[in-house]
Amino acid sequence: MTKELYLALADFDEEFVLETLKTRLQGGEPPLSLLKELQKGMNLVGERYEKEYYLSELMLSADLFNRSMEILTPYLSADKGNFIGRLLIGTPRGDIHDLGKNIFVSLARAVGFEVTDLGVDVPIETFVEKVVEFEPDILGFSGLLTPSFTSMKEVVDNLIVRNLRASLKIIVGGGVVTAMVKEFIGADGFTTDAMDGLNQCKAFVGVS
Amino acid sequence: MAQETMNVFERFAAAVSLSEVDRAPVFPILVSAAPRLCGITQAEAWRDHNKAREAIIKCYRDFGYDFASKPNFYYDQVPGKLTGAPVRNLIPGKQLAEDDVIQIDERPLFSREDYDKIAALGWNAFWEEHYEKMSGRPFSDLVKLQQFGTKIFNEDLKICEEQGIPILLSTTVDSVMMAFSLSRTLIEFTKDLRQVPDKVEKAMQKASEDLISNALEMLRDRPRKGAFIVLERGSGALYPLHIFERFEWPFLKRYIETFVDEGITPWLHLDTDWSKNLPYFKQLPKGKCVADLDSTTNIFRAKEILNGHMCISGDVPASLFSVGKKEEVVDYCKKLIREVGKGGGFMLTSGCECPVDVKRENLMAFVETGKNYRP
Repeated sequence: MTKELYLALADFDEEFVLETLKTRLQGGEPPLSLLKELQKGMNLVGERYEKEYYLSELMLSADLFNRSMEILTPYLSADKGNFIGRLLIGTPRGDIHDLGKNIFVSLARAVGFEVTDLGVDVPIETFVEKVVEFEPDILGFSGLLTPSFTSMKEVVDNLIVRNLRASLKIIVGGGVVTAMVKEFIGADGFTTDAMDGLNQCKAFVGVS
Repeated sequence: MAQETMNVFERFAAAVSLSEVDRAPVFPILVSAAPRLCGITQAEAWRDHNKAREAIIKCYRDFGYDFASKPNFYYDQVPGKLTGAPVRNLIPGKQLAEDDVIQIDERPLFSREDYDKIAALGWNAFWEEHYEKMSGRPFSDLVKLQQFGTKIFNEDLKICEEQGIPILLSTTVDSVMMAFSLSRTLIEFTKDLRQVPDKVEKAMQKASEDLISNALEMLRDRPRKGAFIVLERGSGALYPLHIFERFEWPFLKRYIETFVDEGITPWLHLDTDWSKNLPYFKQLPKGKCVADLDSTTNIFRAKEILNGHMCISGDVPASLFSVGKKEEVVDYCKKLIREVGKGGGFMLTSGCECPVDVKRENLMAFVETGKNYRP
């Protein structure tokens, strides 16, 4: 019996997922329907994470989803369907940690966010420029080192001065982030858990 | 100042052995923060170990905590041997900006095919053979670097001791799982655990022998014997317990039992959330080691589980040190002393390393509360 693509993704059957994607694309299957199956798989991972999966499994599924998207993206037109919201994210200057951010980005893409990932060690001015250019609904900061909190605050202060703060929600994530850090930065949300962060972002754009 | 009846070594030993103390030991793990607190950059401290040492000594004296963490930014090593993964560190002033904090550039150092080789050769011989292939530089370069680091570590340690500065950490050793995870990267290692578990296990069994004997060799001539075991990648936050039981616990237990037999105090530096793993620690020798929590594990729950069996240290959060208010630091430290310190077996420390941007008043509040608050 052939395994379903979404189940294979949720079970981290790497070989099956990547081969199936290639075969079905070559067979002329619409890429958008394949994307929906992958998204269904990531939703299942999310459900399992609440009950049985651990962070390592979330990480593996995010990695497999990313590699699936590398295969799928060239076949997708510029209009990839309806996004549920725009999300801009990055790790501020002085910090190169990106594991949690990368997991979060994959999860966000899987549920339908249009994500611009600025990467790591991102200068303050770049965040501000990209907010102007990309007009996100949500700005996400990721950071593991405490000096990045000051950089995040500077970005937020800069956005306030330029009247850009009110139009977007801001969330900060990372291993040492607390409510105190959220208050210090002036963010709307904080998290130490990628799935919890995703749920907050969905709530920010009115998706349950 | 509340009356003290023990010196720092007596107090430390009493806390570890769960005996009565005049007060809980109080000290941050403070290395990277020292230069900034003394007005120099991270890069200056890396370039000039004398400046790093002087900053560490000045902080110890200015703030008055019980132990300094290290004598400088370098590590004591046995040249030609490793007590962890030879990760690529990004150094301030070289690969990073002048006042950035050292970070690891995590990338695969060996491939899945190398597990069999490690199982055959062990950790030491494998790296002697593999290092050049991995880094493009001869193994002798690593040995020279280790010789240099060890030489200035020992010189600065001696200077600190002569000036009456007690140093807490001498030997640092990765847990076996930590060493392998850092060598493969977290994602690739997780795949290995699922796809080639037997190969990983065999390699770990062989590697653990060298990792333990390398640590013992480093500690042989040390007057005070403590092994700082770096644990992060095997916790119940990352993996289910069956993974911990097979790939972390047996080796960690062997580390600890060997160290304790040799009169060494194992300091389990537990980054990430170890709540699910804590009950296993009750199998370790009673009153011989320290569970050092980073503020991610619930320290109050840890007290309930390990009370009367294992000393707990922690866990003032990095964010509290860097963006909190002085009063908040005082309140949290008092809570720790009251609840986790009740009945002994507690040290008031920073959760992981004290952050580089710690507020001076918060660090002082941490020390003063630790020294003076008696519930």
